[in-house]
Amino acid sequence: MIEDITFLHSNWIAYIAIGAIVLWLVFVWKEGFHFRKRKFWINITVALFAIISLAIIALKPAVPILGKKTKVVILTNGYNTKQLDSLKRAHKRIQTFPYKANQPIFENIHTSDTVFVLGNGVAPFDFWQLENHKVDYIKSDVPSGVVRFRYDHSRVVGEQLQFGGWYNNPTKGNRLILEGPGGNGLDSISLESGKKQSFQLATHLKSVGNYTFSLVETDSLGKLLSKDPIPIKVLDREGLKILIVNGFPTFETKYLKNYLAEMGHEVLVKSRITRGKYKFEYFNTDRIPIGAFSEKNLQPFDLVILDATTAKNLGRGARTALKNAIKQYGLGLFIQPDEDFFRYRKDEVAFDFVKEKSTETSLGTTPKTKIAKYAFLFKDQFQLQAIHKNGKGDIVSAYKHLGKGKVSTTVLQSTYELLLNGKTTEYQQLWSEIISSIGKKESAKVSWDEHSILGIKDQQYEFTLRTAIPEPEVTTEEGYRIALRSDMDISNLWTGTTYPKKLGWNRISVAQDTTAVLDYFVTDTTTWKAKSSYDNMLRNRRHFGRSSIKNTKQTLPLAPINPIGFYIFFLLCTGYLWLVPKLGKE
Amino acid sequence: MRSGQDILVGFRRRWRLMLWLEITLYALGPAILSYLIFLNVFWAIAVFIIVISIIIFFIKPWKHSLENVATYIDLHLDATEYSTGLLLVPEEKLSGLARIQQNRVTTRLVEKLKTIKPPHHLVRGAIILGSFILIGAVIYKYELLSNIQGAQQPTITPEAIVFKPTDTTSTTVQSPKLIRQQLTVNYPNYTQVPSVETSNMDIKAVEGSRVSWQIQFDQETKNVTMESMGNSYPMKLSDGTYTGASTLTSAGFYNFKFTDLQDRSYVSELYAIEVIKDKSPSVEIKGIKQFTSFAFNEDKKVSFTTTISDDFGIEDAYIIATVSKGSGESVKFREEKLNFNSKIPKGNKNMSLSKNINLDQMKMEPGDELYFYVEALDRKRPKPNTSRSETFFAVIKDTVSDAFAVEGMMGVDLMPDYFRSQRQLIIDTEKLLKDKPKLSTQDYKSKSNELGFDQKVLRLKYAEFMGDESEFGGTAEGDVESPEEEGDHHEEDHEEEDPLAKYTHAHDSENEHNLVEEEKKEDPLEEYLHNHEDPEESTLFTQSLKSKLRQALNEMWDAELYLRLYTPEKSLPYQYRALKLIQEIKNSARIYVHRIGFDPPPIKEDKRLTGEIDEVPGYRKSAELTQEDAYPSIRVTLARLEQLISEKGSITEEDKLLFGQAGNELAEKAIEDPGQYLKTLQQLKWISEDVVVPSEALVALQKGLFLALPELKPNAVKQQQQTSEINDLLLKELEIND
Repeated sequence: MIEDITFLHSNWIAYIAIGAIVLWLVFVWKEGFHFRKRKFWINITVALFAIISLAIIALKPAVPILGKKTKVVILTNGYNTKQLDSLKRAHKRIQTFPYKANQPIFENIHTSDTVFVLGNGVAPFDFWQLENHKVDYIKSDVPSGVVRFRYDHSRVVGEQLQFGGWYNNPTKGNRLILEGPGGNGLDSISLESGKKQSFQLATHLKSVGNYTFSLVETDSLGKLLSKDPIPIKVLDREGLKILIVNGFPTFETKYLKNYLAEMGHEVLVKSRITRGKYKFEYFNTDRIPIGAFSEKNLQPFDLVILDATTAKNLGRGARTALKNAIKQYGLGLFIQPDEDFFRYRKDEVAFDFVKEKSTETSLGTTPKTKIAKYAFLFKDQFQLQAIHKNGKGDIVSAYKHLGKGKVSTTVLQSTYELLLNGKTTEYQQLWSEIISSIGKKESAKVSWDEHSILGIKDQQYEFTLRTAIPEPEVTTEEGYRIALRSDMDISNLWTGTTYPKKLGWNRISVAQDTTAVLDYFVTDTTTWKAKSSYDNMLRNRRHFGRSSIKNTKQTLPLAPINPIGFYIFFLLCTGYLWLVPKLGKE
Repeated sequence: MRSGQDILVGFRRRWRLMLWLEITLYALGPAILSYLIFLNVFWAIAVFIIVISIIIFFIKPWKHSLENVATYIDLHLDATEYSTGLLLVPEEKLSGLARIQQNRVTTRLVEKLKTIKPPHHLVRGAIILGSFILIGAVIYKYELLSNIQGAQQPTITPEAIVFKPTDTTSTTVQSPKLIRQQLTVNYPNYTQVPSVETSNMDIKAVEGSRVSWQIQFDQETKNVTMESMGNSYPMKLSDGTYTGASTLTSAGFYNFKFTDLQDRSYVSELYAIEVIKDKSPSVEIKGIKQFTSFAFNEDKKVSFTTTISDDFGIEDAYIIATVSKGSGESVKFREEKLNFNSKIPKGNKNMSLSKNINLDQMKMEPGDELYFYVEALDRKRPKPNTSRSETFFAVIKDTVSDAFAVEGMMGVDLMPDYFRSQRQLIIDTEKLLKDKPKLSTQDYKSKSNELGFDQKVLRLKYAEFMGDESEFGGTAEGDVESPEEEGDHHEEDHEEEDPLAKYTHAHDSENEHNLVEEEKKEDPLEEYLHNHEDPEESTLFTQSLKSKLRQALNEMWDAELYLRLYTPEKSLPYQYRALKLIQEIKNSARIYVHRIGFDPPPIKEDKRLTGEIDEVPGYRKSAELTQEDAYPSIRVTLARLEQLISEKGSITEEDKLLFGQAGNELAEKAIEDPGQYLKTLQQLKWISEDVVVPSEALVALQKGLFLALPELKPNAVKQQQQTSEINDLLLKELEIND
């Protein structure tokens, strides 16, 4: 018990001690004439007590308050009354307190016992208030609504926006609608009754810009229940520069080049007419001479398409140049196969094939469309990345990394027949997927890792920045600079935090590169309620689950001991010292 | 001191005033109520007047005479001692006592009259007024009877052109008001539709109609134009009315725009022009089957009725009949234009016409065919719409062509009646085997033998192609022998065995056969020669074919043998082999025909592409194939709208230009489907013309534009990549460990 006593003015202890000793010594000297008398000893002892009590008053002793041993329940949003009732049954004198975000939790309660947190949990910025307590987080049921969702925040125009999510505790008959800007219903799903339901909504993006799509929930009568924003950045298409070299003209190339040229890509086709004579076709591009491959003349291209014969008969120099261009500059290479291609093996075309009988297949995405193929399939192996799989899950077109670049091929043949059969979209889809995935990728000088572009007003929004700029300076729209922290291991990785004030689209930019901007969407706490409560629940569980493992040493608040006792004692002592000489005289 | 009478008159005036006030209060209530319901002053005044006149009729405030007043005062003021009436009587006519009393009453009245008031119900009136106002206010506030108001609205301003000022800054000057608008649609003459005058500016008329507009303003204006599809047409001013006219050719939109004297411009809403195409007449033939045939001795008459209908009247209709004679290459056609039985009344919208065609009159003979259809023309100018019915057929059956004729490839018909093909033989043999349990042994054997005989005939037939004259003789022999069946063999055996046969000239029977036999036997060397010079001897087939045929004949021999031995099952394999060989021969015969053409020498692969190629030039071609986006401005507009909506910005000049362009892009699309895009186009027009719009309108506009955009085609894109040292290191590691 005694060791718990601390002095609030402990830093004065030296001065007070010296002063007290000096005072006592003066008193001793003053009593000097009674020296060696019984009275002397009594007097100085009493004086010592008086001075000690005075010193203690000055030092303000304090003891930690071992609060009353009562358990406390903090009720946060969405708590379960049943849980509260059973807690009350178990602990008779339990106290309940409602939780308000960003306000002191323990204003006038002190407890050393367990703090129960019920409901969705406290906000992460209030965790510090519970730091010195033993917290038991009792989570309530997962809130009903969309608790998880996933989509690409930035897509290129023309691509598909896929919004997938997980709806907890759905109400049968209600509908989820993906609405475009302006409130066009684009896709919808009706909810089934059950524990949880995963859903996927999709639409094609038609126009470039920052848009706010929304996820709307209506009941079976069409009454709007909730509307949550889905911010998305639609980027402009950027064309590729493609070189096609063919040993002889083929229909496949003819249709492919027409398609690519029509879509605005720069296409250069070199096809051999006869020995030493070539036909050059330049689409959407200037005439550039292209002879044998060299690293220099391959550099501007994003993708090279060769037929199997040309690929096989490349000269040694050209082969090395092509390989280097792929490895170092990230060039993509696509080989148009022929029957022989599947049989010979060479180092850089290390695709392995399995023979099979069927010469027709359909892609998993478009099961009704039949496409001709060679009687081979890819052998699934390490490093092989599938682009297309057929309905059975076998790989029909794939690529492999080679340095920074990619080498790809397919077992499909005569895909132009799709066009002739009127399946233009399928054809275009097929080739745009292949070409997009293997084309040279543009490496941005500055890039933002945006795990979410959805921020909440007045709450922290964290972002990650990757840049080669040595000391990037990030500013908000209002011109405030945001402090950045560099990653310990990766020097070009920076993180920062900001607190957006404005609803809607916000923008932060790098001062050194004004084109490098991050647009993010700020909403308030009324949207995506189910998700944010669920996130909060998980965060609470993680936080309190972890902190309960380590034995937290509680530092209890101190309360000064009431000094009245010392006063009285001091008065008694001085009173005695004052009275005794008078009594003695009489 | 006032005289008593004056006091009473004064009192009466007060009383009447009260009554009038009361009436006013009563009437004001319904008037206000009606105003709040209909929001129209005229209605309110009318109600007010009506109610006042009704209440006046009941209350009659003028009716209160002085006597009444006196009686009232007597009743309510005791001090008058029921003598107020005295005041009305002239003093001279009164007795002395009465005069004193009159005086007393006068003085009393002067003192006390203030204590009584004329009877009134002002409180009641006020309450009624208050309650009417309350009801009216409730109705007004909650728009309980909005349907009445809504129904009321359009009748007040029917389809008036609403002009919106495009500049909202100066509103002090009164803007010119439209007093008259008129749209005249003159339908083309041929339609015989009278011209229509309307104030509804949406046009729906037949193609080629002439449309004219007349607009009149209350003030002088400058420069009234009609804008349509991006072009603007100034309207002419005559007698204070602006007029413009146009001929409808295609669907579209238009709006009016004018500037007033202060140079402020105003735009109207967009109006749709819907062009109805003159439909082609519809023709239907009834009362006849599509295909009719007659025997040559029947009454060959075709009769039918035709119903023709057209939206604006029919000009002409006739029948086009074609007679075809003969068949194959010698077919001849004769076309005739026939008129209907009755004359065609021009300009009728519906008509039913009938026609009888006598095939004999058409100079048709058995075997001839008649095709006919009805063609109708409508009255459209300059080029009428024509349409025709389905084609109907009438045929006179040919009496000759029913006879069956076998046409062989050769001049001589060598095909015997009972000729069975090898395939047929196989089928029959298999059938026989299948039926074996059902048949008696006798039948079975006889059938097997029959098949053997057929096999023999077939073999001989093929032997013919070999040029085996001896075998050909056999065919003839078989021909004759066939009906004799079983006995045949005995006879043959007998014949062969007949010792006399060699020594007799049996000219009586089988004469020709014997002759041939004789001839053949005249040259014993013939069988051992291969006489190529003789064209008669040459065969149609090459040597290999010949051997194949020989092989086939051998197979047939064996097949026949087993059939004759009553073991058809053993014969079947031979038959199959024979069939296969015959098929091969047939196929090679086809190849033989092909070989008549050019047979190129085989290509030597190593010599390929080794020709002189100095003259072959390289080929270079450049092309810009990029497909232009049809809606670039709409796409930009969408993004700009999103900004405007979220940031509540104001529309700049640049935006207006952009919206205008987007409008033009949308207009092209809207022509095809005005119902869907007209509203969006309208909103776009207003935005681009500087009309202040609320943000809800922007949202609606964005929605409309978003709907209008077609989906983009799938396209490959250059993707972005985040490069970092870590990634590079990982790739290197992967490569090393590969």
